[in-house]
Amino acid sequence: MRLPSLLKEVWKNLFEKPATVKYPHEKLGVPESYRGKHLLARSRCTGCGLCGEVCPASAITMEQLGNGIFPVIDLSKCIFCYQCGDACPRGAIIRGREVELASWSKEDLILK
Amino acid sequence: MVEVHDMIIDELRRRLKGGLLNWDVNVKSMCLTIRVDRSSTLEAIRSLAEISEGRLHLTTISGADLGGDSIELTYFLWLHDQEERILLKVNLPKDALRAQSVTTVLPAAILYEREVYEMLGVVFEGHPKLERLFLPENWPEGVYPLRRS
Amino acid sequence: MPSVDINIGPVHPALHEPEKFVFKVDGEVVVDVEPRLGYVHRGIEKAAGEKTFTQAVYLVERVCGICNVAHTLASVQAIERAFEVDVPARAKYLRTIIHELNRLHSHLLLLGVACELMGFDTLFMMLWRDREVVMDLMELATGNRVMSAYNVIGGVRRNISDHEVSTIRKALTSLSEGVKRYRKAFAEDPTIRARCVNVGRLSPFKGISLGAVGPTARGSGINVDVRVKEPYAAFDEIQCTPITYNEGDSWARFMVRIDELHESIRIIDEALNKMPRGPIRVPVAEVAPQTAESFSIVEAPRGELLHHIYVKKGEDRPLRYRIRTPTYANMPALCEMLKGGYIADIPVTLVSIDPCFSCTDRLTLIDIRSHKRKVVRLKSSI
Repeated sequence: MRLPSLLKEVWKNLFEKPATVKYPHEKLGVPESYRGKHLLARSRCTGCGLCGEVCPASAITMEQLGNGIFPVIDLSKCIFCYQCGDACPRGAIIRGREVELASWSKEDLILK
Repeated sequence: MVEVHDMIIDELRRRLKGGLLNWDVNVKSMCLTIRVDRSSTLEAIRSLAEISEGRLHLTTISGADLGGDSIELTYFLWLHDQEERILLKVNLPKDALRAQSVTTVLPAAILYEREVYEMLGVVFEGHPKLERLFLPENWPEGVYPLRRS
Repeated sequence: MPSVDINIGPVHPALHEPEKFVFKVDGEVVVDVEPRLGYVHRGIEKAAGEKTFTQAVYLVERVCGICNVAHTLASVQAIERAFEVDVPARAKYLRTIIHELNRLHSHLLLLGVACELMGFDTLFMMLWRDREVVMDLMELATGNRVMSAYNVIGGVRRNISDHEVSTIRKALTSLSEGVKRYRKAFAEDPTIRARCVNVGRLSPFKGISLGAVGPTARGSGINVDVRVKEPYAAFDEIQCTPITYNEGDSWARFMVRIDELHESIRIIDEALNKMPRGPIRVPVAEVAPQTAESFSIVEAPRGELLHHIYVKKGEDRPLRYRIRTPTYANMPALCEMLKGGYIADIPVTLVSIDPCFSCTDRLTLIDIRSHKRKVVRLKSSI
């Protein structure tokens, strides 16, 4: 009988490093270009509200915070498309790389 | 206009006579758009199927209520032999939403006609089983989700 | 003996998504099939009419997660055609590359699922391990593993740097080696052949008349491939060969997909070589400059995908948005394949068309209790 063509591969797997990693003890990380949790540069924001207008998920609302109107992002609604960052004329919404956003309460997911 | 378009139009003019309303070629996509009378739909599809020797592919039937007093059906067709994309358009007045079913020539139309029926309320005469497709069983009669009114 | 009805679904271990089939069986043989669609109907066509053009692209991306790039590509092409916008050459090439990466990941996913259903778990694990290579490339190039948000009206979101180009090349070379081994396994392995050869046959004649598309049609020897017949994006400059098999059974459909993996890798390589430098995006008006109707057809991993839109001058929302997904087109052909086969062959036949039921069901938003249709702004419904 002919040997199955995958036998070599199976044999090789016995001595190779596993394909999976033990998350959360080991982490793979994300590339530079990843679209994660936003960074809001409030000093650049003019409160124009364009980000809220374009947001496809209606996740951004404009609120009075301190001495100005600033965007508030609800990360539980956010689809991480970064259309807000594209629309912002002043570059106040910066792409972040944080991916571990699980939380016990919804309030923690409101990004101010 | 390309030669093959002339051939198709000539054949349709011969077969449909007054049923062929108008045609033009979209400059951007280079595809032939033909508008026919609703009583000539089946005959037009049959002619196109004969032109491509039975190798006619129906991509979809797309129905649109654009707010006027008629509903526009667009048949997206692909002729395998000629490698041509053809859009066949039929306008149905809203007070008589009846169209000819093309399922006898193109069985692929069975699901598309059912979808247009449930979403826009167009009745296809000669369809073997004109029932709901996506909407739930307890959906109210006479409510058509994609109508504008 | 009278035939017996067997209900399979909406929730069933052999189906990975909610869909119901009623099989009329005579002994072990399926006589007739009646599919019941609509369990994951989400009203996307109606909702797309309520969104601005920019937002609609993100909405249709969610018709199907697996082939999201094909959906956004068809959507932005249809909108660009209606607006009469010309996209820069580099953007066209970048779209092609991401589109093919998406196809690689989709085909590897399906082949893995097929192996699992056939009880060949070793190959399933290996295929999915190699799929991870493609997912990492997607993440690198677009910023997310699945939801790429890459195609935008007027171009693409991100550029690819020279360093990323070499990373993609290197990864695809090693993937190509793996695909060669898997092709051999699929072509020769007795387990796979026993489960697939002569199962779920579809004749070319039936395939055309029932409107089969994509690998399902190509497995029956029908020479259709939108990339070749109606070139879009950069496909008019890139050589692409349609892959057809004449057997018309489940095995042929899997083989079409495996050979397409090689073809996609070659296309990406050619696109990376030919890609010109230059801008990747042009600004586009937010409202429609003229009343127009347009459509775009692309070759999604599962077959021909159509987006058809009507726009009105001065409006920032589409008048009507119509999507025809490939699995929906393959449903009549699937029913034909199942007829005359054994009950035990149902899962393999089903998976051989690469079914994606969330693709098949879309549309409509309605207030059922008051029996009234109403136009709901998505903002107010969230």
